[in-house]
Amino acid sequence: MKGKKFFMLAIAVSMVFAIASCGKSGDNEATEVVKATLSSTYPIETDQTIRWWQSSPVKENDKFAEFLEEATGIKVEWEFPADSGNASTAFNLMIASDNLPDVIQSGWANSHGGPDYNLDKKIITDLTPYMDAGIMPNLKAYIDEHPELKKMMTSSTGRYYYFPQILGDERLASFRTWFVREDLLEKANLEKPETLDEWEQVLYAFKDMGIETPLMAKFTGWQFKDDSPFLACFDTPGDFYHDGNTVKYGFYEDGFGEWVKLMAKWYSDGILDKDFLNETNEHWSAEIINGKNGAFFGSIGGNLGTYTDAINPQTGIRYTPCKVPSSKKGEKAMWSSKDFMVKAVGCAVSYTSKNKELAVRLLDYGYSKQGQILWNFGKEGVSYEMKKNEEGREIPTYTDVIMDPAKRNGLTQGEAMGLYTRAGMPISVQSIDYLFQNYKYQAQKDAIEVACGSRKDEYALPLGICNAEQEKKLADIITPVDTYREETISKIIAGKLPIETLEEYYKQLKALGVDEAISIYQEAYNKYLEKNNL
Amino acid sequence: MVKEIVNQGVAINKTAFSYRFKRDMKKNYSLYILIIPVLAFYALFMYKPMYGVLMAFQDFEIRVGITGSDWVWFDNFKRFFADPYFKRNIINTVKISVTSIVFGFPTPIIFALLVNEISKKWFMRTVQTITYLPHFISLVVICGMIRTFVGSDGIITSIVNFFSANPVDESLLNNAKAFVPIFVASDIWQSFGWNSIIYLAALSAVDEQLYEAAIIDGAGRIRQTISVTIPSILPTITIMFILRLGSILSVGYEKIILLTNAFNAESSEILSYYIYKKGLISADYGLATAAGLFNSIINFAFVAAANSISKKVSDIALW
Repeated sequence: MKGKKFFMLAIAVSMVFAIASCGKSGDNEATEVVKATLSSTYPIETDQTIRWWQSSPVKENDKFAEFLEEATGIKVEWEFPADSGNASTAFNLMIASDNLPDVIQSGWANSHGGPDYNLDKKIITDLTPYMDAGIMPNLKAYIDEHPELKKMMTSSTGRYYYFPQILGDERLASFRTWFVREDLLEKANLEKPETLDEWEQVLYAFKDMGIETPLMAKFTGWQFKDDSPFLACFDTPGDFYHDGNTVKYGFYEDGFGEWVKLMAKWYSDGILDKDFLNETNEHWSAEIINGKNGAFFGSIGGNLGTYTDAINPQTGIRYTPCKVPSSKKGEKAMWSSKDFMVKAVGCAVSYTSKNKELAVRLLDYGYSKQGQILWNFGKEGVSYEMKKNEEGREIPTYTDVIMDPAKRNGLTQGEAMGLYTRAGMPISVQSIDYLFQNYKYQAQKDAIEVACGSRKDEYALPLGICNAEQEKKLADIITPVDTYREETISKIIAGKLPIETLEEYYKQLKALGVDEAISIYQEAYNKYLEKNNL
Repeated sequence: MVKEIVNQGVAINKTAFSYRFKRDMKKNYSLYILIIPVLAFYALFMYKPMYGVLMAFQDFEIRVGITGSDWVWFDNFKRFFADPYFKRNIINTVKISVTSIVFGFPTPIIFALLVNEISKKWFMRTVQTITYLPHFISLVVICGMIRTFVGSDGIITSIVNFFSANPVDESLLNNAKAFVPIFVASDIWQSFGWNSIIYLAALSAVDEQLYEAAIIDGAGRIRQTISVTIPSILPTITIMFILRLGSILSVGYEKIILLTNAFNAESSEILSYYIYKKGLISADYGLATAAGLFNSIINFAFVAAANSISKKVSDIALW
């Protein structure tokens, strides 16, 4: 009997120790010393395979994967979740596994806890020693050429941590803009609108011409935040931002209330779609294709491209892109939907990888001259040829396997492009030449030129500046604020609550702790400024 | 002297049990083998995952797991209770749940009683098949149908507008007051046929002699139902009711996701939707587990209370 008790006690004690000792091992290692061991030229001779995780699937016959292996000499085993619909859950499950892949492609810059958290928790590798040891010369050369990008690629403690998607041209930064019916403008003898006042004039003129929904814009989900149409005309973005060195919250500023009043007026005057909260794609295309719409805010490819394909040319419906609406004529808008030149998405090397140097070399290839072409255009003679464009510049030009519907084996242009290239999301420098070839309509090409026309860069807060602790506090404050705002503002716009509710709205935001959220961001931003000596 | 006897008693009982157990094993070993898969199922899929509730007391980090995460004890619960929408989530959940118990619980019973009175077999089968059918339709499709029916030009909206003093030209889902009725009514429509199966089974087990005796005593159809049928299936009803109370805070989030919008959020945001948002969208696993554990504790309290009341009042109980 006594023996049994002792045995149980022993088990209990050993279990407690086992639990306590887990996760403690090897916490204080010295920073690793990195030396180059592989040849500095491509293709590299190796029998090792690199496991590469990404959230979107890679097909069996993927040509780009073949090209990449041929060029670098490195075999890649692609891993991706079976259900790509829920990328963040798939990513979390992958991170929780014991056997991490060598290369992980994800939105590292705005990942949970920020880059430093992932470095300190030994999920990803600190790339700074590799940078110093000359193992990633191509990315280093690109940063030396564009030193202003360096601060966007390092963590808040100044470490390199990922191979990002870099935009090779500012015009790649936005893929959404405002489109207005050119034929209606001509009929009404009006100019393309640039300022808010001109827009109002145009939209009301459309209404008088019998257009059912002069303006279509989605307000739900993320669209009710950053991109809320015309909000920037009141010099307030729908997000946290910095004005000089002071952090502010756009939804807490007076300009936001003014915008809500205008939207409520537009709603009751029938300028906005009655069903603006329950917008579906079917509803949009029905309204636009049947000529019931006057203007919309949407994407250049997915929206304008699809609608233009579907519109019967005999109806004479023609959409033309507009400049980002601003408050003053001739001035750029304060804010619009626009990416940073270094995107949040990129590839990191996992901390547990056994082939770190090889993985780094594989990723670094993408930033070399040939690598950039490979990621954007595939292989010469197969998916592209060097040809002169309209300006007389010699550029890689997609061949018929991508551009000619008859030679694509039933694929769409986008699918064919995804088979031979990764032009849409390269772990490399994205080329503007890709975008101009991707869009077939002149209106789309014109849209590229105007869509990014805002001063967002002067106001936007950098990505990933908050640490895990700050992030948690912010989430606790902002989640209820978002819930409250979305409900209240939707109801005010739709006339279900009186305009006077706005007074209460500001009070409620204060009560929900917005001031504390602002000060958390302020603290994080101050730290960021300090780190970069700004 | 007394002590000795007690000790003896314990010793005898113990040997008696292990002796009986061994003898039973030998005799019925095939039955014991049969139950192994069930026990394994419960151990693996019901008990093993339970240690995950430890996450509720941790600042859980998915990379290092439960053994490596920091213990924060009741911090997650504090955050959960401090959420400005905590009260609203609970009230909405209880509102939906109580409404569906009040209207949804008696429906399959009444339906079963009515079906039981049908004497034509083919008619009875047809009715049953038609009423089971919605149970097999995917929730996504059901919600798509609901959205269409109560849309601005949907059939239900048109009917409501016909009888209403102030007709609306928008979806009924945009009206927060209409949300609970839409949610509960569609729920009843989808499940009452399926839920009536168990009562029909109970009804078929009622002894025919009781009805014969009642008829001899001069009881009509209604009298038979009240005095024979209902008392006979009362134990089933009670057990079902206790079990139903066990899910008083468990209103599924799937249907909410498919029907919610900013206009009806004030009555559609519920506890499970909050857990879904925190756990799966924001990956705040600790907080979501704490909220889930709170949910389970309340549910368990309701079952336990209902069970003991029922035991005292009617002697029918789960345990």
